[in-house]
Amino acid sequence: MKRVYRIDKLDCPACADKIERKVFKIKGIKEVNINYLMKKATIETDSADNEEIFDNAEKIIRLYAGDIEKE
Amino acid sequence: MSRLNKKQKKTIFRIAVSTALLVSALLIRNDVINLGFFIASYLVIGYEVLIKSFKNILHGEVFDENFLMSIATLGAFAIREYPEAVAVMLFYETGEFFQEYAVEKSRKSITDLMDIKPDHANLIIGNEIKTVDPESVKIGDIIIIKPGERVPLDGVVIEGESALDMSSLTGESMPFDVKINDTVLSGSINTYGLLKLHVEKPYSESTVSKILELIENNSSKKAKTERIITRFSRFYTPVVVISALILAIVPPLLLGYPWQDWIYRALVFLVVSCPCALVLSVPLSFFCALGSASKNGILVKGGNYLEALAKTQAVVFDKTGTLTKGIFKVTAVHPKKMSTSELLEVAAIAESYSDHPISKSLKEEYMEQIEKSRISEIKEIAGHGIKAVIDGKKVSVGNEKLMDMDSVEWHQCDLAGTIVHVAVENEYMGHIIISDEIKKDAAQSVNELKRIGITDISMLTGDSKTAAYDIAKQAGIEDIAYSLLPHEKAEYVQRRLKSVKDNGKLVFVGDGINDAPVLAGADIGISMGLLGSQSAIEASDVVIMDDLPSKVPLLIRLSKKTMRIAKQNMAFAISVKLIVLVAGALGMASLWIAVFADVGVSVLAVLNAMRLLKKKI
Repeated sequence: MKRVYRIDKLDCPACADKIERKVFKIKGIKEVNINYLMKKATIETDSADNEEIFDNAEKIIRLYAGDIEKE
Repeated sequence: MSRLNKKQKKTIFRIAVSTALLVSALLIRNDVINLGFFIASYLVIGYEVLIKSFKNILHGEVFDENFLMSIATLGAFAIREYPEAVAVMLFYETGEFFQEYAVEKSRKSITDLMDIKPDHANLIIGNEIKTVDPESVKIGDIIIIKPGERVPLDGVVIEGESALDMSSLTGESMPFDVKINDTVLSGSINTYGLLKLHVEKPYSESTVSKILELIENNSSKKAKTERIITRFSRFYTPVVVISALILAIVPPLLLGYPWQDWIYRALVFLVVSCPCALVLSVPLSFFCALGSASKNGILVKGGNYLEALAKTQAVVFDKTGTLTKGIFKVTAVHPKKMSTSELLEVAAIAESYSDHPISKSLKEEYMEQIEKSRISEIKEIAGHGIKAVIDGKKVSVGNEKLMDMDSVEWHQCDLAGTIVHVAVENEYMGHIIISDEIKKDAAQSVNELKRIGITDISMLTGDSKTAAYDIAKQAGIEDIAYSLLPHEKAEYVQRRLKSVKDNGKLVFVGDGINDAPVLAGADIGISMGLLGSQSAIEASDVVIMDDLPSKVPLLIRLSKKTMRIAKQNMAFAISVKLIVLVAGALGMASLWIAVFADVGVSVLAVLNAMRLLKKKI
């Protein structure tokens, strides 16, 4: 399952890399792309039912980027 | 400058107030009062950084840029370097402001490209016209496009006539005329007439959503250069911060040097430790380049392909639909033992079930209605032609290979074009010559490629020798391969791949009909978006929206420029930082210089990358 978030408040390019690596470590994450320039985060999980994994990923992104918005 | 947003206005205000307070502090002679002004100036400009760093340190982020900047400036306060403490924070925020502004601007130029998204469709239901979401329209629905409206879904015109402005899709400003039975691509704008469209594709498969998807995802495929710089930055910051710590403690403690002096040197390190200039400059170069390509009607699926394109050594063009218009016309009919119209009739009937451009041209020339009951037992032999039974007689229509298969004695023809031979009951009946016109910019493209140093240019085709030589001569290509079957095209490209040396890359340009495997097999596959099929667009790495081969040299030039700018940025950022680090360790660099090495370099790198957005490549 794939979700896209708007991360308008992310203001440091080096953080994008950090978030990417941290989110990737969450179990069940298949792919993660934090695009600083488009201010977008794309997260893909292995299977369909993954609310918990998304919650954890969102938490990490919020730490760095403040408010995020599901697209 | 374009319009500033609220946050930017607030930042400018803070910069102004902080500067005024700093200047006042420098003018005031009283030590206590001016310290008050320094602190006020510092807090006005730096409170956001301080709050962020406090938050991040709670999560254990010691290498966060806000935290490092806070420590550096507070440290400067601690060793009584007040003006410098404030100035570093002030410059840092000013630099960030410019950087953000520039990035915002380049982001905008990309998102502007995405303005092609249609917001509604006028669906015909019975006698009514209803405004609906394009996503809810289905294949087979009829929609109306009024003048000035954007075409929401791909379809075929069933009523009306107009010219379409395709500039947002192709970069080409000349309107494109459409009439009944013409295919219309979503994303284009209807200029004057009312068009009634039969919807051929659902929104999710229509051109406009394919393009949007490509633009949105194109920066997710990173170039190698981008990955190298990110990896470098991962260890850069920790190493510099740890060095700062050693610098602050070891010399004073072990060698008895003055603390103040060495702490100052350590602060210089902290200011330079932020990797942002590095992490930003290279991806931004690719980002701007992808945007610039899109503006020119070239969709590149990722930065990695730009990187590869810059190393192009060989270009292989497909002939039909790539160098030529792909519009075939019967130019001559040479009958034997049959009349001209009979020969044409047999050929047209034989080809009546095929979608091949050649078949279409035969049907067009024949003009009469084809009675499909006259033909049976149709067998299409790829790369050869068609065998069938017409009016009870065995008929073969195709190239000389098909004739040879049945040992039919065929006649040579001197005219340029595709020769369609016809045999009835294994007896030769004559041939029909069908030719295709070369695109206007084909020769110019080849010349341009040679001019930028790419001399290994070849052309391949499934067509006959004469047709191949005719087009190759007009285009200025000497190296050609003809009469290739679809799988032979792929093999040919595989062979050519081996002859490309020293990391050079091979580019294949095709129209996508029958050559999806070839597109996928080359280092970089470029397809023609207008003519090309959906599968070709999926198999290729680059899509040229207006089918102009001259976009190939343009793109290669852009890729070279991109790599040059990315490398300049990388070299500039790394060398300035290293120089300042060395000078700082020796006590020769001030915090003023350090803050320039941080944000000043970022701003310059961003401005350099933005050169790629300029109209002329």
